[in-house]
Amino acid sequence: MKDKERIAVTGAGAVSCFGTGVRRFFSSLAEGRSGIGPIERWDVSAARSRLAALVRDYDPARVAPASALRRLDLSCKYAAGAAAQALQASGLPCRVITGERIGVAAGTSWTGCLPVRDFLRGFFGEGMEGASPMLFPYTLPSAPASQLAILLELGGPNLTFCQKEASALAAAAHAADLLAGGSADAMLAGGAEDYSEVLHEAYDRLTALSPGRGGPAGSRPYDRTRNGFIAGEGAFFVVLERLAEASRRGADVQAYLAGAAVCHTSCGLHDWPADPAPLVRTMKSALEEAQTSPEEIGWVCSSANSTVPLDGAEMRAIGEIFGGRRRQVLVSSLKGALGEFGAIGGAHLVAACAAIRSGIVPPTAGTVDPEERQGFELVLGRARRTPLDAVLINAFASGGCLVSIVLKRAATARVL
Amino acid sequence: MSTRRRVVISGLGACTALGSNAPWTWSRLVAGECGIRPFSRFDTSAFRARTGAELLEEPIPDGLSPRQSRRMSRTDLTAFAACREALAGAGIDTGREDPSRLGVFLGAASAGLFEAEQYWKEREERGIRRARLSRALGYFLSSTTDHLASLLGAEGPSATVVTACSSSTIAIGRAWEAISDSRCDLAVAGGADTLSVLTVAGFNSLRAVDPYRCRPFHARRNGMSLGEGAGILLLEEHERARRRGAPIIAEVLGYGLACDAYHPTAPHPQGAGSARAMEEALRRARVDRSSIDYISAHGTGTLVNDETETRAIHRVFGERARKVPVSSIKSMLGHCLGAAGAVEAVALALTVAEGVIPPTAGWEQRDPACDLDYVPGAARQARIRAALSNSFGFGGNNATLVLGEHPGGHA
Repeated sequence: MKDKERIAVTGAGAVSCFGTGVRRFFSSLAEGRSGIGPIERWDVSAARSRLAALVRDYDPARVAPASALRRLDLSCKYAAGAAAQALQASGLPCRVITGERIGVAAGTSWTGCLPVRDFLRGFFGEGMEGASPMLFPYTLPSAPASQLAILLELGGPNLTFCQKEASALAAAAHAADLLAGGSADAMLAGGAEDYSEVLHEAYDRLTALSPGRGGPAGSRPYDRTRNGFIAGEGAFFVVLERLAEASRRGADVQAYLAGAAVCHTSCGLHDWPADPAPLVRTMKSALEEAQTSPEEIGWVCSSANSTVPLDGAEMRAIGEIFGGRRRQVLVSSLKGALGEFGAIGGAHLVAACAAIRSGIVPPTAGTVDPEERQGFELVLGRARRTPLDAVLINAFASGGCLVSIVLKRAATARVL
Repeated sequence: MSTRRRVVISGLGACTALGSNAPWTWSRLVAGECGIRPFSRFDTSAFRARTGAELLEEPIPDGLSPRQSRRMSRTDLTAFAACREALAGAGIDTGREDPSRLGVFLGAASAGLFEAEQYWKEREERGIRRARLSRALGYFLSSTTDHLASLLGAEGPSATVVTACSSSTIAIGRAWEAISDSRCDLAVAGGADTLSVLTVAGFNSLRAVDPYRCRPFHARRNGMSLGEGAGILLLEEHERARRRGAPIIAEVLGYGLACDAYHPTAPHPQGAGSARAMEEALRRARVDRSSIDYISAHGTGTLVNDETETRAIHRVFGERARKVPVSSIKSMLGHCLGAAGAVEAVALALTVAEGVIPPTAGWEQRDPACDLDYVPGAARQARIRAALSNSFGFGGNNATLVLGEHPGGHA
């Protein structure tokens, strides 16, 4: 993989538990705030776990006309907001013939759950009379990507990847390959997802969510008292282009995607990877492809999600790669603030771009009593200011999909 | 980019309405047999269309412990059976391969949805506490990929592509890209999909299904027929396959993608996105359209798909369009949705290797809007230098795969 085509990030957008826009998203993270709160969208009185990081302060009417929004489900509405922001920031001319060369690669783990429930409820209740042809297209997780193509008139490759909690970061890795291979000139890459009572009920019964079988409820990555994840939702997209062309058109290059690795490890369908070795291998191959040494990495945007196995495995894996360096690498997990979900990799990308531009590394919200760690410094409480040349981003999923991406500072990037 | 590694197909596996392996399915496709029958697996009395191309036989969980197979959905088991066939045919023992150089790329559209529906029904009828949640756990579309990767011990790149009816074509394309980019040397590529209540009710609610059987490109065609199955291609880096004396069936030359950006379920009336997908595939495969000797059509049997696909082929092939044979094996296997592109790619590999074009079954009468050579009635012998396989999904997600003949290709 020598001299792989360099892929630039030229725009970013977020619809998150902190509200609309990248600025609110990143400044909230930097302040160490958490977007996790009590669930009010549905009744959780019978559930053990009553917390989630749900989207707030988002008005899709500012993105698309009411007629276009009427039929969209929540995940599509979130997607529209984040994608429109990212495209606007990139300065790409949309809604013109060039749209044929602009594509979408979206990752989602569970989009479509609620329409599936509603469609089946209608059908099982009333037979074909209750089977809604309007609802049916939304039962597929590809609905947000398809709707983005229609709303924003994007005729390039339109892909959806379902790789559990690694979905959105995997989508970005796949998108970078498509760009390098010349399948498109620009790709919106990231993910969109809404959380609902259907999943909450299932996860709660599986005791996958904090507080699991006991202890305080909350998302506390790397904490000694961690006892399960908290689910999140939202939409996060970046615009990727080939660096040479982005520079040529004078785009504001925020960072570039220097290397990516998508690997797999054997574990149960709903178990978190617990063996550090495949995690080490994934991070190493992303670093190799990026031709980047561990010393250059200033921040690891970690995948730790407050579950016992994953946090432990990732901590050991990071220790193995970065142990014994003169300068300790900073590590933090955004899942203390955002929770865990299929589009989280998109949030990692957006945050990493903002971190590279601002030199601010957001802390891990929620964690107070971290486990002993080797070879790295966990950012807790307050953000750190430090110039960042490169960020290693992880998204490791239950079921075994592992993705790492290296983002680097673009020499031409404007300073905020 | 000029030093792309070549990628060949060295193993095939299939599980369909016509047979539980690739040669069985293939021989019946060539004979023009139709696998579309009255539904038998679940109550379909509420539907307009009560036929479909259900699996001929339930997948046999060979090579799995009871504990493993119990956790797998019907889709997962079908995929695993096809995967075993492909690996055996290629002479690959995954236990002896470098796991980090083995990838898994699958398209999906329903995974464990059927089992999850049963959970949902139980939950509605008997309450949350008495519904068996374990049945719903295969609902995530990544399930089949995760199961296969774990069972094979694959540690290389993986992808679960979900773009409705073009899912598995794109998965094969991504696997081709991964091997030619040197991300892995071997890949299990394709997809599996089995029928669920939601799928059948959904397509019925769209009034997209023919009550009897689909008849692609026929003047009085009346909709699609749903199908189910699995298709797995074992893709291998060319030099490696040649060195080990692998049975090379055909070569993957490239793929192309384009989106209509038009409507959630209907295709663009002029077939603009479909035409661009074919053009992009030819460009990436570096194949001139004059050497395309066959097109495996998306050909669902709906009025609008077959007409727009015909238009798109005219648009791409111009004068030559009427000379290129075009057939749709959905006329025999139904529309296998997330697995359609995979099952069709398996058949296309054999079409190229054996120089036999399977027919479009059920075609009787010319539609003025569908004026190509649809290979009606009987299979036809012809040398196929290169061929296209079209897959067009909901949301206008279009994909075209290009396969080419390989000198070692006559199996």
